[in-house]
Amino acid sequence: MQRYTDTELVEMFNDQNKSELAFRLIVDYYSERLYWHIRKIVLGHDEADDVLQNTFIKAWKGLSNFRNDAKLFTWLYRIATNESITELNKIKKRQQVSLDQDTVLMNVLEDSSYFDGDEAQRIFQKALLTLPEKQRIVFNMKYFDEMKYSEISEILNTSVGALKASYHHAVKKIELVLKEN
Amino acid sequence: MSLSNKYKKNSFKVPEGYFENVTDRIQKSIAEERESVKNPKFIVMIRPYIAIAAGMMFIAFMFGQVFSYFEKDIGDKLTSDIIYESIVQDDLLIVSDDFLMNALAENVEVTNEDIQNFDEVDNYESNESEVDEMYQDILY
Repeated sequence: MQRYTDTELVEMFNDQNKSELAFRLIVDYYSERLYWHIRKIVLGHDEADDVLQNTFIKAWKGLSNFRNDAKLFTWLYRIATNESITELNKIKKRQQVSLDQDTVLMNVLEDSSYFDGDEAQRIFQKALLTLPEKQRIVFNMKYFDEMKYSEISEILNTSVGALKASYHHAVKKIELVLKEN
Repeated sequence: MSLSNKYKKNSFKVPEGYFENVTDRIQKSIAEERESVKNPKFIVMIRPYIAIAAGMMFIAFMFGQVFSYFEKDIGDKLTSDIIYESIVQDDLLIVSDDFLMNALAENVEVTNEDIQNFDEVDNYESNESEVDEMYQDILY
């Protein structure tokens, strides 16, 4: 099956007769990759599913105004990141005062219906939860998604220098936690 | 400086068949969203009009507050001299007949409460000859 470029997809979307097909293709191409980016932030599947839906609804609403000066995937990734942060804030508000957001997310890692990694991976994921929110997101994008700093910079609108420093500090903190455990 | 790649293994679980169905589910959500944009709920439609009405009521209220503040000042200082001057200079003065006659005859200070207690108010636009006539009736 023919694979369309981002530019072609946006042009198709702006054609009333082809917009539904164009958007379906965009979802096909990018949903899985976006899902995993989201899932690593919010940890729970149901939450990730909600965020993914919201991401694509926002993308659908904004796509007609999308200018091809940025990559389509960069733009989608940015929406997904913002929606994930919004979801994390909702999780914070939903919980009782005695439970903070990190405790809630750590509980997800203990639930075998959501996470089936070994003890080392569980400890590693819990170490990630000790990082500040944005630092954790940078770490995920660099370590798990193996994105270039320039790509991360475009998505998060942060300088490459700041990202490198953030990632460096994140690695140091995680190494410390792993040593202690 | 690098962490071991062993932690890169994806250990998060996904319900079976999730990715096979996700496109259809997202398209369905978008169709529902498109429908809600075409046929918004009544309350969503009238929301901007409610906001406009509330804004206008607020402005009217504030205007009333400001107006009553200045009116009080004017009412307290109204005297027969001012009333006479207003009539002579063809100004509009909103008072009743009885009030006007009493004020002109007795040189009393009128209060805001006096003005508010009238059952009927008339707009007076007088000229000099009419004023002379009125004085004649009262004084002579």
